[in-house]
Amino acid sequence: MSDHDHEWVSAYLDDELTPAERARGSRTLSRKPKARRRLGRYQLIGDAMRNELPEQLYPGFARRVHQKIVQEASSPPKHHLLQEVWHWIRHPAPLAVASGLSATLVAVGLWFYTKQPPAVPVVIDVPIDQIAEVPESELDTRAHQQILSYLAAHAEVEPRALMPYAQLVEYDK
Amino acid sequence: MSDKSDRNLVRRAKAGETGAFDALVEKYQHRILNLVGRYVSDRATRQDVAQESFIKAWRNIKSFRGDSQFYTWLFRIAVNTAINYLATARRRPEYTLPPNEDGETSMDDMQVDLDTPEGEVEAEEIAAIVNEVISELSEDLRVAITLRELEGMSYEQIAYIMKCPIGTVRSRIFRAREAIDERLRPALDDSSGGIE
Repeated sequence: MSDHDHEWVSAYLDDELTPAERARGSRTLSRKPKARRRLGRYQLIGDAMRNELPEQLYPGFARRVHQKIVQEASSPPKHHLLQEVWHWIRHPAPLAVASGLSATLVAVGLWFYTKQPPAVPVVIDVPIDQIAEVPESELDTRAHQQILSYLAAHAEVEPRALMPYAQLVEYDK
Repeated sequence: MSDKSDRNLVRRAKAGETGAFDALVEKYQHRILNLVGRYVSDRATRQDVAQESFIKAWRNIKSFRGDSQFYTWLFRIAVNTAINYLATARRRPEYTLPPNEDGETSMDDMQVDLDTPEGEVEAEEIAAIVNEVISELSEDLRVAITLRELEGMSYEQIAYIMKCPIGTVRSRIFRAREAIDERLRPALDDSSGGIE
């Protein structure tokens, strides 16, 4: 391959390729290390012209990054998990603060809960003869129908247990 | 600049192609090293911080949504990595030299390599080569590469200014880069071999 065949690398760097050429260029760069290095050097030329270079350059830098990435790709999640655990072990202060705060919140919550007076059902003593009788015309027949249909639909659950309730509804009516 | 090309490479990197990410490393390594150098004064550490920035970018490439340019995203990672490094370095207790037989401490006791790291090249040397070759280029090539790199013009704009077809601009810029690259290659030779 002659050097002239690399003209596309130059145009690729400048974003001056058609979408199809660009896609082909990306594929080639992904597979051909020599093309990648050429791209890197072309970029370096521009950086040097614009005076944007670091004090020192490290020709093996990209290779070392690549080696690290390949290393990680072969053993990824376990390493990260261990690193996380190790981080918490080495720096226990935030973990201790979080644990202490959680424990305090739980203790305060429990204290409030136990200080609350027990819930007592409200019982209103009303003599039976003072309860106004609801006239039949005022009964909500629609609600009544709904209850009956519910009982019918759920009769398979526990027929014997439903009977007293059904009888009570009928009694009210 | 070159956002569309980066998007293609990022898409491939997201799919797990390390080669595509390597291309992004090749492209942005110097800018990231330059950026890290503004935060980290220790020469030996700069490279590690820059390397860590790229590795973090690789680990999180799938979370890059593409709302910003890839370089902007990478820039932010590098700045955060450098700041984190500085914070950690401040927390680290300072090393005090143990006294020698005479009860004194000496730099000779320190097992620290203060020499220039292997494969390091001074940027001044590279800049000198680039400027020298540019001054030797024919006027057509020199104008084309200058308008592109220093003025950031598109090929179409350069073609309009130079009164020539876009294809000619593309060819001139390439030839200028090749002429400079030919002289740069020996200085940038990575004796350990490239990524194959």
